[in-house]
Amino acid sequence: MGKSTVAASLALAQARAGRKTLLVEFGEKSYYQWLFKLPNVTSHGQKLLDWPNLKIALWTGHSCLTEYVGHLVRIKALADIFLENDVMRALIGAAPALSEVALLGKLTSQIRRVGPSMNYDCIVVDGFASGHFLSMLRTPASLAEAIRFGPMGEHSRQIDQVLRDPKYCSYYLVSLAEELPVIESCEMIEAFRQEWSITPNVIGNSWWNSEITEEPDIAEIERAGLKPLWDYNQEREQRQQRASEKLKGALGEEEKFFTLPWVDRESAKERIEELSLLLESQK
Amino acid sequence: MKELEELFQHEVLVCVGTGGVGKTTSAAALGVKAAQAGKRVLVLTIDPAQRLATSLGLSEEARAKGEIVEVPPSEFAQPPKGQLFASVIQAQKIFDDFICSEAPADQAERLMKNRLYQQLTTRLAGSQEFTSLEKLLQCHEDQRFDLIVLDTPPAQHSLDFLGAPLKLHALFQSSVTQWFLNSKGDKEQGWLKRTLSGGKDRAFSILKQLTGSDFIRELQEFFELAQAWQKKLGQRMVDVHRLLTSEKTAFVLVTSFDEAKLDEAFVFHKELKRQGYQLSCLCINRAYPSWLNINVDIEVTESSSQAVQTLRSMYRRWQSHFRRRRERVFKEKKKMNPETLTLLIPEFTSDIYNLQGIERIAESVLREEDL
Repeated sequence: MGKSTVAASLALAQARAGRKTLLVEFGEKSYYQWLFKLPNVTSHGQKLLDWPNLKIALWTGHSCLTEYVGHLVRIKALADIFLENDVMRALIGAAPALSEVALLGKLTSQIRRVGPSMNYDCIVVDGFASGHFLSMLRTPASLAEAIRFGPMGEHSRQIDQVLRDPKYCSYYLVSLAEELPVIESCEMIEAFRQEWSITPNVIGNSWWNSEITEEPDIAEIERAGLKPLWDYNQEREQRQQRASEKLKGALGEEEKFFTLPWVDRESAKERIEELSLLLESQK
Repeated sequence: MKELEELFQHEVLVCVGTGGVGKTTSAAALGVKAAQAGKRVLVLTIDPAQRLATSLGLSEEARAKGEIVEVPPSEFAQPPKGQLFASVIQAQKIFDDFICSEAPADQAERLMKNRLYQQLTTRLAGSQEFTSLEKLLQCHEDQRFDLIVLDTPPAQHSLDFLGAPLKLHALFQSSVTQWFLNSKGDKEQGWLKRTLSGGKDRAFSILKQLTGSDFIRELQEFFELAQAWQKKLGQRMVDVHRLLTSEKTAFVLVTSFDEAKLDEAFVFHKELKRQGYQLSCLCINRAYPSWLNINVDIEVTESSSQAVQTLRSMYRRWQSHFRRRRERVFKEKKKMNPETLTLLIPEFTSDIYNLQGIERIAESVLREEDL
């Protein structure tokens, strides 16, 4: 889908507008490290290439909990006892919901004024792929439902409230003009609407702009051996047309849908710069 | 293709790869190919698109129940020599069944009522991976099939699939369970006293401070009830590991032709090898548009119309784009095991959502050398 590229472009567009921006990945391994050939990516946020105002960070459930426990317990030795024992490691690694809540907890911490301070104007998350991301978003509400009392219940409820609040959070779904991604996006739009009363933004990515404006002579194209490309061009335009209609229909609000073109550039940096300029102009 | 026949000599093919690269489609295409080669094949998928599932003969009910269904030969454009079966992996159901078969009835019932279990079992890290592997193991033990093709859950990184069940296993190791059980039933004063005594208890008290006693109570019950089946879970993971590292199993890494995805593929290859698994096939999906020939130059005279000249320059841009990518693969592949088969699946102009589409893919799978 190009989800990570679009996320980086959104972040860069924010940073260009003069906002202090953090681009965050969730997980054990960084994709952006590969993409930008960085020596490493940590949880604290580090400068990304020569783009001012933009930092990049990789968060895991463990790193978020470590920071939070350190903040809460204050005494390092005590925090270490908690985090460095095998049982806790296993628990944080796999216990239901702990890791998700830790990640989303940190993401919303600045707004909730909880935990170590972060000072960004905007945080852009490169979320997990569709279903995986939805189930993560559902975690705080499920947990608040299961555990009504105590800090876990309380934090989960607060996190859920921030994630639902359009004042603080907007969501961008990235789709391609292909049947399966479009179906998946429509399902996600529906889920956002039903469960969170939110209408997400939808970006149609890798849109193909036909450069042929006049009515062509098909026989001549055929003679030149270019008929397959012409057919592809036509087919792709129709497919894009269908995808736009379907996605706009599912959204109900046309202005929430926009497209980004297919960009043929070898370097990720150039690709993202170009896309971020296009995103700015679409605003 | 001789190499493919060799690949189909295995009993299990595990298709791994990150989300959105077309794992399910590629797994189905390999299944069709193997059935065409005369095998009795089962494709285990996680979450096929509705139309693909219907086309594979999987009704709504069969999907929900995770039944194994034969793909009706009449559905094929060209019925295969062998047979093709399909089934959808239903994580919650497999987990429930596993627990009901291992735990005494009253305990199983209590666990099903545990609020954490209800809300979050299928979201336990590793539970989707565990249930996939458990299903694979069951089907392999049945010996009903010559070949099982396993589609794996979407993961941010291909390596997660192998690590995840270990995480789940670590969670249910008796030390973790004991830790929770020992802490059970203590009164608040007892807590305080114990907080001062051992580091373990201090850690527990921080957890309590973080999460609250309600959460701890549910967790304690969860772990108490997990005792009945944690040993079995460990045993199954050992069995799975044995199967996956044996010669019966081959890994197929599905990737797209994206620079970073390819980089990841090569790292994955190294890591697989280090852990004792065998990567036998690199399957590059949407490797090139099906209409593109990167070796032929298109001749256009100067009198050509504007449209033809534009198309020609488009065609050339596509050619150079895919030539660059191909060179990169050639370069990187030299670092891999020379016996690893590289398959290229073209990108089709129309969407693939049914069995005939999968058959078309299966037909046009190319070896890298043939491109």
